[in-house]
Amino acid sequence: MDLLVCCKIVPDLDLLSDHDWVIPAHGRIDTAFVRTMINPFDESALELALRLADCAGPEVRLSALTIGSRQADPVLKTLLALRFDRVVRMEPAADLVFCPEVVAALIAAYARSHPQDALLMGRQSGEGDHGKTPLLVAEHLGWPCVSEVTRVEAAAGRLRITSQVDDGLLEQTLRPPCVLSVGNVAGTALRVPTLKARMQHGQRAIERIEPGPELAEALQCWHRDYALEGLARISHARAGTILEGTDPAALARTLYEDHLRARMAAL
Amino acid sequence: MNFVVVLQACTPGPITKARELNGFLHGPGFPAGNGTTVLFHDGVLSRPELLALAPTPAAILVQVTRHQPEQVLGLLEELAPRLDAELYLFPDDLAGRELAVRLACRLRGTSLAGVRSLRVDPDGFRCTRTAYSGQVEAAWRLKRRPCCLVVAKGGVEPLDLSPGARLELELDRRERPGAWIEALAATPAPPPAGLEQAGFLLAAGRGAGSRDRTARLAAIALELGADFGVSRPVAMNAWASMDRLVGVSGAMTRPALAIVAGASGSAAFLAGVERSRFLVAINTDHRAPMLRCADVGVVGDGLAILEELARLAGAAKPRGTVHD
Repeated sequence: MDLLVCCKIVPDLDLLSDHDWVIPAHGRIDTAFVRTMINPFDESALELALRLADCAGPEVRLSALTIGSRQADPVLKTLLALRFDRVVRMEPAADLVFCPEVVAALIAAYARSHPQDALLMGRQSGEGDHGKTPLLVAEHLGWPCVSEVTRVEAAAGRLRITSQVDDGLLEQTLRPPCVLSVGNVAGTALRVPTLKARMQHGQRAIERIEPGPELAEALQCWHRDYALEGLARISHARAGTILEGTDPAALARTLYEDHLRARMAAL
Repeated sequence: MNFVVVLQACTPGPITKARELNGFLHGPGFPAGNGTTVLFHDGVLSRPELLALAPTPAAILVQVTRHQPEQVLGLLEELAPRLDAELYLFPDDLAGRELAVRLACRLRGTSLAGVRSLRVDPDGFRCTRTAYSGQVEAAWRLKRRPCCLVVAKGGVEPLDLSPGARLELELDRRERPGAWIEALAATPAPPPAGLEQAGFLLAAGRGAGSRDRTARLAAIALELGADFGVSRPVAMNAWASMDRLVGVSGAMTRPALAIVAGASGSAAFLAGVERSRFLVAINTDHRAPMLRCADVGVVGDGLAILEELARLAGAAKPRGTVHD
């Protein structure tokens, strides 16, 4: 069974301070100076795929695909060390942060030319925050899609998927192919490879590929259909009071007497 | 303009979702038009009860075995020529977020989730939604119709529904799920933690530091009479269950009083508590953005301060008062 996990390297937006949020007249906010990380939903997808491979053994072959710059390479090396069979980076000469339709077209084109039984990816990432890519990939490929996946197992050519739905949990045994969009899954931080694994497997080459003609076509469609007309910073600030001190009991007393006692009594 | 509201009566909270969508339909910028609700249900509610859920004058009722996205999408595609709609609206739940994107793709239209405002102009549908994990508002113009929009949870004031809609069509689609599904078993969700209705919320962030300290904070919440919520890192570390999650992926709360301890103030979490009438933040780091987003920011150890606060509040209670 061939599984492709799509992952994205994103800036850790929590590290941006107030004055870092400079809104440009056009285009995206510059986050190039911020530490990057694997999109947390994609990280869960990568770890779920590794757990699946742990249980299923050599029957499962794992590939990883990212669309982005060489900033992703350290993470991709880690994936090689974690025994991903193939790790691919596609680098389009276009900023696709707000274009999930284009990203989906590129992923679908790759999956068509490198046949897969299932695609796994996080449901959304923080910058564009669209939550569209896996759904659009499924539509492009004409495959069924399971959203909010929390667990994946494989047996006898079938996938057993647990997913969150609005009224609970759903366990389905599916006949591939399908797209799996991974949601909130507790305890799925990506495992860390051993130094030995890094030396043995992490030195393999990352495959670097250029997008095909579908990039220009998808961008043209995107510009025909969508326009991002502006960005504006949302201020969450309140004109608050700051209480400081070294004695927690004294802080609690001030907080309670000056600010909470009456409010709690009124609840 | 013809528009369609797509609702599920077979998932929890249909009235709340219908009221939110009704608030959006009656909000500024929403154009006059002919609205039809397509309501999927599992036969539990009666026909008058179902029609009372529709925020539009007309309704199409579709009975299904359970929510199955492929089946719902197929039916909406089938109904599209009849509905001839330029706009589809979905509630901000798991089903709505999936259906909007996939339906737009099938109908060769456009989609956007988390929409907070809408204005219909001759050159397109202008919508706003957040980006960059809720730090930024993005203004979009969708140029191709139909537009399939997910209305942001908590983004509009809910509005009571008018008396029941006119029944336009009733369909029975209790079919087997697609052939690609060989077995299917559903486990009902436990009763919701009810954080969205909390009057008093105590929420713990990553600074809680461990499962034990998180459990202690949950116990303090109980002592104070508050509901207990957590930020995403706490839930992802399995220090608390996922149904306690506050923020864009979880509960969007609006309590009279909220105390947030040990959360740095990521936008995704903040979105879940920013509607608190009075907000207290406690953090050991005086630079934590959360402190500036609160009415009162306390620089210090959350657990120590809250333990003392619980003692003070307990001492102030009349004798014999017992929290449930």
